[in-house]
Amino acid sequence: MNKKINFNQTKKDILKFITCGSVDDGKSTLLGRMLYEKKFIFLDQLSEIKNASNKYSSHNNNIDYSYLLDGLLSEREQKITIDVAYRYFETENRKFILADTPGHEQYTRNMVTGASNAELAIILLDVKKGIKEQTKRHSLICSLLNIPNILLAVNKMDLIGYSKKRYENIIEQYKRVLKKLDLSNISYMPLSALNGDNIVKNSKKMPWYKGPCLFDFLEKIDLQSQIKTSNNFYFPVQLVQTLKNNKRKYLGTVKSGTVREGEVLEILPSGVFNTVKKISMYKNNLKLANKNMSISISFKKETDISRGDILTSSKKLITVTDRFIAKIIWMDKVSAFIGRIYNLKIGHSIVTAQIVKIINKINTKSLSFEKANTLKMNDIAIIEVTLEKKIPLVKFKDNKDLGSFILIDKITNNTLAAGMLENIIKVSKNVFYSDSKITQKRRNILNGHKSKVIWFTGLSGAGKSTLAKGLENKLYKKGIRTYILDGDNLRTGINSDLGFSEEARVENIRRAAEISKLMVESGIVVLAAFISPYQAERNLARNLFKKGDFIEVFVKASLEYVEKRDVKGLYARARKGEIKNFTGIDSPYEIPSKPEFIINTDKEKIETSINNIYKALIFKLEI
Amino acid sequence: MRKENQAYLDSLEAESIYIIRETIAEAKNPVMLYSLGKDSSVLLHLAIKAFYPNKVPFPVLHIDTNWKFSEMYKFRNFIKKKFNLELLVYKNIKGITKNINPFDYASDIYTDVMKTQALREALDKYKFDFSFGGARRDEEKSRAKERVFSVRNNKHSWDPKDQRPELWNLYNLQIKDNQSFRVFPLSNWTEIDIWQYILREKIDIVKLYFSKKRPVVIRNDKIILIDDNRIKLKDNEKILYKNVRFRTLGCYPLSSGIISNANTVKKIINEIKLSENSERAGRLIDHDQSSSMEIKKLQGYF
Repeated sequence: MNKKINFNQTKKDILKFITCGSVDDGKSTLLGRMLYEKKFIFLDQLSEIKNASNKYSSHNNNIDYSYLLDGLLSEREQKITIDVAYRYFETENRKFILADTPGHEQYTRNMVTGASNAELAIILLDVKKGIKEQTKRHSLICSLLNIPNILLAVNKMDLIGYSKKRYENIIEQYKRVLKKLDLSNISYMPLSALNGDNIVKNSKKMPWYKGPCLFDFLEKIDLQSQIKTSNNFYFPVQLVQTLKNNKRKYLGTVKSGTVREGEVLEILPSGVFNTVKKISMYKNNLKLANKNMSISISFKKETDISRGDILTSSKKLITVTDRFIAKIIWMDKVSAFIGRIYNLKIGHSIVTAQIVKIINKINTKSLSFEKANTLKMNDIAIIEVTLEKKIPLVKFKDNKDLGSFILIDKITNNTLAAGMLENIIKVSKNVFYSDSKITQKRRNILNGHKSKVIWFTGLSGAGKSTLAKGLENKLYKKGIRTYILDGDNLRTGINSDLGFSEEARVENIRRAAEISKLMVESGIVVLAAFISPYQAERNLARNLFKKGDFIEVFVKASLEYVEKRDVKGLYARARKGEIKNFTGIDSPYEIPSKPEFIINTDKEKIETSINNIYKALIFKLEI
Repeated sequence: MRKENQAYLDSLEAESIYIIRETIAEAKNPVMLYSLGKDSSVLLHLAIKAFYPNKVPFPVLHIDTNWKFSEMYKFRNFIKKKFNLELLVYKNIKGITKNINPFDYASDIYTDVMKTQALREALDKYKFDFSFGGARRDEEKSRAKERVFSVRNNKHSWDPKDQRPELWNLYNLQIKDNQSFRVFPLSNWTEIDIWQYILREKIDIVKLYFSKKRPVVIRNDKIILIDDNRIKLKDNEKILYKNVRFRTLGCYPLSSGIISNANTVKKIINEIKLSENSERAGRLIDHDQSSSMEIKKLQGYF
């Protein structure tokens, strides 16, 4: 039973489009208005939004069209769009799937969600407010996602008296923005969503505008001629199915090109060739399958094929490798760090991936590049990624489906970033899992920073703990894992058996150094704050560590200064003889001979000292 | 008409099959929520197509309130036999013992106990990690906001303000221990698409969707079917015989019929095209409080 199913036999097509742009530029109102005027709203829905308009709005009896799309309670209360709303309508010629996306920067990831599948983006702007950062950000995202059609809708023309000059002025400004982006097929349209100008019919108030109204534009925009078709057949294996007779079938969707019964395909990454025995879709066997069809394929020979493998007719645009350059949009509250490890889903594969380099960050205000060590939520950047194993990769511009990926947090399982493969690096670097032992270096890679001990030495009251705490706060904000070891947490616990005799002091420092060593090996930056008066013990501590992992900070303050301040009253008690063996009074302090840093706490402000150490230290922690 | 829409239906079908297969590739313990309605029937048909010639690799779960139309129970047995399904039926026994029913209790209380709580109990009992549902975005305003793969917390609740990004068709199906997924393969289908697909694929549906002379009573301007003797007629009410059909099916006292002569799928399609009301206008539970669907979903409704 052979049945040929041809996807392109009919006229009626489907347009997936989004509306985006800054907050309050009127996105939801525009679409709501258009749907209302074209009678795409059911009576019961209309009465519901009429009630909502009266409930949430101060203007009585005016329909607030945005409620048609802003369906969530918190959206209506706050009068904003939080997440994408999908809306479906159809005309004689076309089916439409509209995604109305939020304008707030904090909801950028929801905008990206809507935009990722769009063939047209309507970027709205308020003619009075002009081009805002969000206008640029959304234009940039549309450009990264390769949305093939853009309409810049200049809204609220009624507020400027439908001035042609002001409209053209805005278009000129936007064209300057476009120079920095990679967008094509851009159209422009003046309108007023509130008054319905140029929405479903051309407005009499702007006779100077000769283009179509919004609705005609949507109906007539030509989609077919723009689709760049590659003849290469790509079929990522979604699922391996074992039949009753133990034969295997490979299920999935054709992502490009066509496949015929009897054709020879290459299986990637293995590089094995095999001949297609049968293509089927439910009860039908097909001679030929086209792009976007969900089918199953069986082969003449039994071969080892897994989920995530790619079946292809041509390797021309595919490279099997473990390194690439990509553009990403970071979407999580947890920042991205160089060296950190994530799950990466591409096609039907999930592999461990590492960000090895942040090449550039894109400034969304100026649309220019800048350097960055971390990426925060909504940042857009170009990064280099390494994978734990070689897999078949395709550039995003060559195939949207095979060249896009997401990064997933290994612990929270959140979706962290959307990525578009920009360039494929053929030479493997093999930084991953060279041996099975988990070393300090590998833990450092996982954490995204090196681990070291910062050893603060100096007189009692010189400010060691204060410095350590201040520094720890700054490091913590940078996403660096730290821990403070000082007399407070060691002497009360593990060292509670020790007094203050010279022997006990030596043992105190020996234990502190050994604990620091274990913690540094486990990947933590240790801030050790101990008087540690003797050079010999400080040397002992230093020798436990690899060169460069022990950073000695001499917290220098004169005895006169610390004794005058005497925060804890210890000097007074030592002078009275109530405390024996007190450093500086009746026990010596040996000045460090070659500390990495000297901080004069008696001469500079504590904030200055903290900043100075931080600046000198932070680059030493980079991987 | 049929031919014109063929291509669009093919692409909807391919997308849904893709979603169903992707779920099965990553799920440990999936289930299909099966309400016996037209959308459930389409969803089941797509699942059968996705894995043919193998059997559907998951059970189907019917949350039974004890108040479904008798035609629906007949249909359930017919489908179970026809496709040799592993059918799980779950009822909230506590609710039944307390006689929580749609006549004596407000519709929101009844729905919460007999549907939402029952569903949550069933999901906890069987520990399903992925549950397919036949919901469509065009049905209702809060559904229009939901992802194809909707993450639910340990209480099965939806957080509309913090949904996971969903990019291209790259679905992140990894979850933490206590989370689960509701999966909506029909997200992008409209009511008309569903009917055109039923027509094309000759999918079996409950007879109540087709017009027939049936005994009804008019209550609060809604047409309620006399399905059994549990309905108590009020003094001013009398049984009428009218040509009615149902655009959407739930529990019988909470689903209102429409006057119609559409007794074939083709006639139904024509009728819907001319309709000025949405399909859920006949769903009494959608209107028991403002934004009621969103509130039900926060409580764990599907």
